[in-house]
Amino acid sequence: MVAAGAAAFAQKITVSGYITDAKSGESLIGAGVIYNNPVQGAPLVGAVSNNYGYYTLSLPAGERSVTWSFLGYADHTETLYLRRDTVINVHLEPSASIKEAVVTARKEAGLNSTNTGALEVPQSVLETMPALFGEKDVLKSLQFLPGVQGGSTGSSGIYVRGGGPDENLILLDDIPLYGVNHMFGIFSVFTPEAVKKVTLFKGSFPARYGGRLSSVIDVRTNDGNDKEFHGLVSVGMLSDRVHLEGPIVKGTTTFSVSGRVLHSFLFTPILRAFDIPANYYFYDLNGKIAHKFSNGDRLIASVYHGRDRFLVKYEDDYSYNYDDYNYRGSDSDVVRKESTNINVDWGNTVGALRWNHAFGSKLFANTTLAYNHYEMDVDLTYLDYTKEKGIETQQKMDVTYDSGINDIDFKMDFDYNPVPEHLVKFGVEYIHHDFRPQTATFSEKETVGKETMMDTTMNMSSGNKLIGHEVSLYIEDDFVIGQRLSFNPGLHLGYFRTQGKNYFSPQPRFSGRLDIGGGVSIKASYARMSQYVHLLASTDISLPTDLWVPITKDIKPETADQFSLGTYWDAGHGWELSLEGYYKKMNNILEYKDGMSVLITSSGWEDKVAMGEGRAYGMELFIQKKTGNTTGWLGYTLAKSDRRFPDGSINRGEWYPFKYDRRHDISLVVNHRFNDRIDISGSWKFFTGGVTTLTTREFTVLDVNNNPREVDYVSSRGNYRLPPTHTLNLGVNFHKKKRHGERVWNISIYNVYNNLNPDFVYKERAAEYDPVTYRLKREGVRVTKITVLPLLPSFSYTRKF
Amino acid sequence: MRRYISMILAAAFATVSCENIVEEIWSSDNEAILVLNAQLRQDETSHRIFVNCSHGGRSETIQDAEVSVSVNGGVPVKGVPLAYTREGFGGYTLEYFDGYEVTVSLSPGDKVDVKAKWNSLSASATVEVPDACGVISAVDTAMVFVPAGGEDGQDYRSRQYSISVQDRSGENNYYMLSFQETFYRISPTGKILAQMTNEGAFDSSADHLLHPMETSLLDDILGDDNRYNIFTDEMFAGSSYTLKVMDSTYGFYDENWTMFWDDFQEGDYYSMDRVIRVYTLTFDEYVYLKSIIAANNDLGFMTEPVIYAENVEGGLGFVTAMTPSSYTIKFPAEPYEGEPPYTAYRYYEKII
Repeated sequence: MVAAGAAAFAQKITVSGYITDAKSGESLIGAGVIYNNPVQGAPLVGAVSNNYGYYTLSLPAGERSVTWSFLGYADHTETLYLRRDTVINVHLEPSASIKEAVVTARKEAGLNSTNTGALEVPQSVLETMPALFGEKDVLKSLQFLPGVQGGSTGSSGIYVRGGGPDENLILLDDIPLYGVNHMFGIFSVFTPEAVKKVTLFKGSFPARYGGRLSSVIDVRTNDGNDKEFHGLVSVGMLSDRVHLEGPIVKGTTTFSVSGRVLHSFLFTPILRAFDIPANYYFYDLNGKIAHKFSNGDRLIASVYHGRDRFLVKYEDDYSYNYDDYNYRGSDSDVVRKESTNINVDWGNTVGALRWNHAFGSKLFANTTLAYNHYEMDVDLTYLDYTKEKGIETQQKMDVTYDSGINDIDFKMDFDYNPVPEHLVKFGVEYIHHDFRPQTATFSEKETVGKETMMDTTMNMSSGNKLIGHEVSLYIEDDFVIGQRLSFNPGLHLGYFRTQGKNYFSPQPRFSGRLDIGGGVSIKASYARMSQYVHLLASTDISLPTDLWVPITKDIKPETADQFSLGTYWDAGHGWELSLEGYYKKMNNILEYKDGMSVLITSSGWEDKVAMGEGRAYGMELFIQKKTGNTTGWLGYTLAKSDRRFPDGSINRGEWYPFKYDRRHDISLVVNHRFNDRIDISGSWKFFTGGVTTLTTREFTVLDVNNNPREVDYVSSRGNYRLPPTHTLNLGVNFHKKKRHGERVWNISIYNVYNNLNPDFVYKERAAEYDPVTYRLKREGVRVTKITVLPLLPSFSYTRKF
Repeated sequence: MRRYISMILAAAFATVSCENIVEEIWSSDNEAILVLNAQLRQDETSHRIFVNCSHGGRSETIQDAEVSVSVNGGVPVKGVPLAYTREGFGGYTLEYFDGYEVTVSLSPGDKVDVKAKWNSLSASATVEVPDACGVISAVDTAMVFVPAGGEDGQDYRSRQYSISVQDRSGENNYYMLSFQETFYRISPTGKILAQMTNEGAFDSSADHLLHPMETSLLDDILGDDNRYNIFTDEMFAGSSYTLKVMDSTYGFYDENWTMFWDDFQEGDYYSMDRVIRVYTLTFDEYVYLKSIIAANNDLGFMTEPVIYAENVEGGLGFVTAMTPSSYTIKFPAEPYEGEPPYTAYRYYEKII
């Protein structure tokens, strides 16, 4: 009898299912499930819902108490009488007070995660942070996390732990995005209403991620409310947003649609005010349909489409009369008209089809087929028309410049939970890359009367397609030993084939966590990452002419080895502290050689870049308050990042500071909720200035034919450090419940104390003359900063229904 | 409303371009420093040393410096300033200064000390003459058409060569390819009546080693080329590589040309040869020449400034030594069948 009872206790029952929001039916990612073991000191048994809200937990048979929890939701506890594997879908009720979720094992990010440097940006913070031009922005909010830096002020560029802007894997529902900026980097492509969860990995990288060196930004979007229709309309100073979601078939099929568009009708008068005959607009569209076939099967179709368009149109009329040269329009003796049209158009289109399937209660699979298209087109047309004495002369020039990427991505990801202590993730991915870095044509046609005097078309570029085949296999096991130890070893095997050359890249990953009691834990990790694509950008700001190119037979994949070590303290009452150090060594990184640029042309780009090494190390302090009416964090980063190119083509082959090497970075974010009607937020950011290269004197060089030449002398790259940047932003949200939904007024002030930050700098020769003799007194270099964003108030109006 | 919001936005953007001077760094605060430059060629005995003074924002030629060169610690040989004048247009006298001439013989492995003193300033550099690369050989393979290569957009003929370079094994080597063309006017008795020698320029755009990626017209416009034909042995370490280049004769004119042509007598004929040289460079020289090329491509604010290699103690500049392996292609007395006669002019002959 005793033996039978023991056997029954030893029998493991698997509880699995989806965790969703009780009001919207939206799946909750990262929600915790924990077994309330009545035995004091017994190992913690718990699970976390995956990116589709699915969880699986193995428990001993019998009467068991289980609690489901999620930040911002009321806990749900049930007593289960387990006899066989069972499915329990749980709907958590949103809670007005932001309280801490029950501590669970296996969080992907945060203090209790095994991973180092993994952070979530709470949706509540994203919604309340002060917004530039009234536009909430996912990527800009990430810039306030330690170890993450932005480019110039106001831009959504991301530089993580000494890495470059192309070293971030930005995933939109698992699909890597290439162009993530609108309006030259001021906005990111993510519509805030469509975003459900954002997770940043910058230290240890779970083995399922690969393809970039410095970070993974995993953005998940809403599936849609499966109970009732809801929506939102928001009007900001620069853009309008709309979001609609609801059931197509209640309980089984949902839709979610979001859109955003820049008010060109407001923006155009501004350009006109500056005498710029141009127009600019952008838009984003997100759509998703999710259908639940059964408890174990869901099909999700999603699409994203975003474009930027910049148009310039000049027209001039030089018509005149012979006698007095006066203009008489088309009645003039000589009719001469010139027109120039420039059309720059760029953006992403991403479509994905996902199938979630649960094989029994222990194995969950997600199969994704996706198409990702990024393109940039420039079209310039010049027309010169003359009519004199009845003879028409016409000269027409057309210049087109296109570049683009087409990716077809197929992947299968599995979550396997054989026993409570192990959560094994494995999968395979194939990406067919089709890069078209540049196609440029120039055509000119001249006609006099009916006779064609010239008709020439020139292909001004290589126009070569570059095909890349990227395959990756991964396996990782997040396992716990007892109550204090957890590990996540993994292996990511990467393969890339291009131009007949194969690159294999085994990338081991490891992270471990030791709970030393009192809420204090220690984590350590190692990750090797490889990168097969690069961004060729000539300037610091995001331009449509920036080109993504793959590795080639001559350019090897970039690799990075990163070690992280940190200590973490859960101080209770929602307070969390962490101190993390890292050392990252990068190999085969690319940089433009001295004097090189890919402006206009990408052909021969391999010749213009050098392959070298980089190192970045630093320490990050993060103090966060996650619950209560006052939330926020303080982050401090002490970091150093430099580069060396042994072939001598940059800085004579010596080490020099990376352009975004910033020694100190402080971020403070505070949100306070007074009541249901008013909440305020503030953010302050300080960082050491970046580096630039100055020439301070002239000297002489010789060419191979012994011809001396006077040139600028530069002691080393990055020889001048810019002044620091610091900005305080404040925002207030006024909420009011309406009969149907809620309206929110947001008022934000960007750069409250109007600090004139060096958003851009330029260098020029300066000279000083004697006011009496007009003789040159002295000459040198003047460094001038341009502050793009001084004090800037903005507002937005949002109506939720 | 729309107008009101636009006005607010316009006012906001109007304040946007806040420009402030961060700092003014005055070059006149720079102390005076000597700039010493030289490229010593092992196959020549006459070398040029250039001395400048960088002060303030300028670098000025120094014509009265004390310059000396000593080889392997031997007796220093003094440099002789090469200053001369020439009559220019309108009867003006133009002054030229071609550096300091030093006459010394160099051998691979020699340690060469180059020193310059001027007023209280001094600068010096020590370089080692590198070994030559292995044997090179070159053959003239074909006369080819160069479409639309000329300055007037016409097609031209050009001569194509295969040049084999044997790398020295066990070390990283850096090379530069160049050639010298010599034309001879020869009497019917075979006596050389006159000769003219020019440093030629190869068109190497078709060679993968010299130009790893296909270059576009825009690259040519932007000047992004390997104009000095420098390369490393990375792709053929310890073995040999055959370069495929064409002679590029555009701009092949000098002041001697007219005289050379005018002396032509009935019965004289022309001959020519090509001396192909592959210089072994030091790594620093390789980097230095890349910098010189990069400086020609500088697009200002869109590019990072060029940083030059330096090896001068007490000053700025770069002194180097390079050693050639050479191979002479002697062309037959009569041109190959179907080819035009040996005159420099034929290179300007348009293909009809």
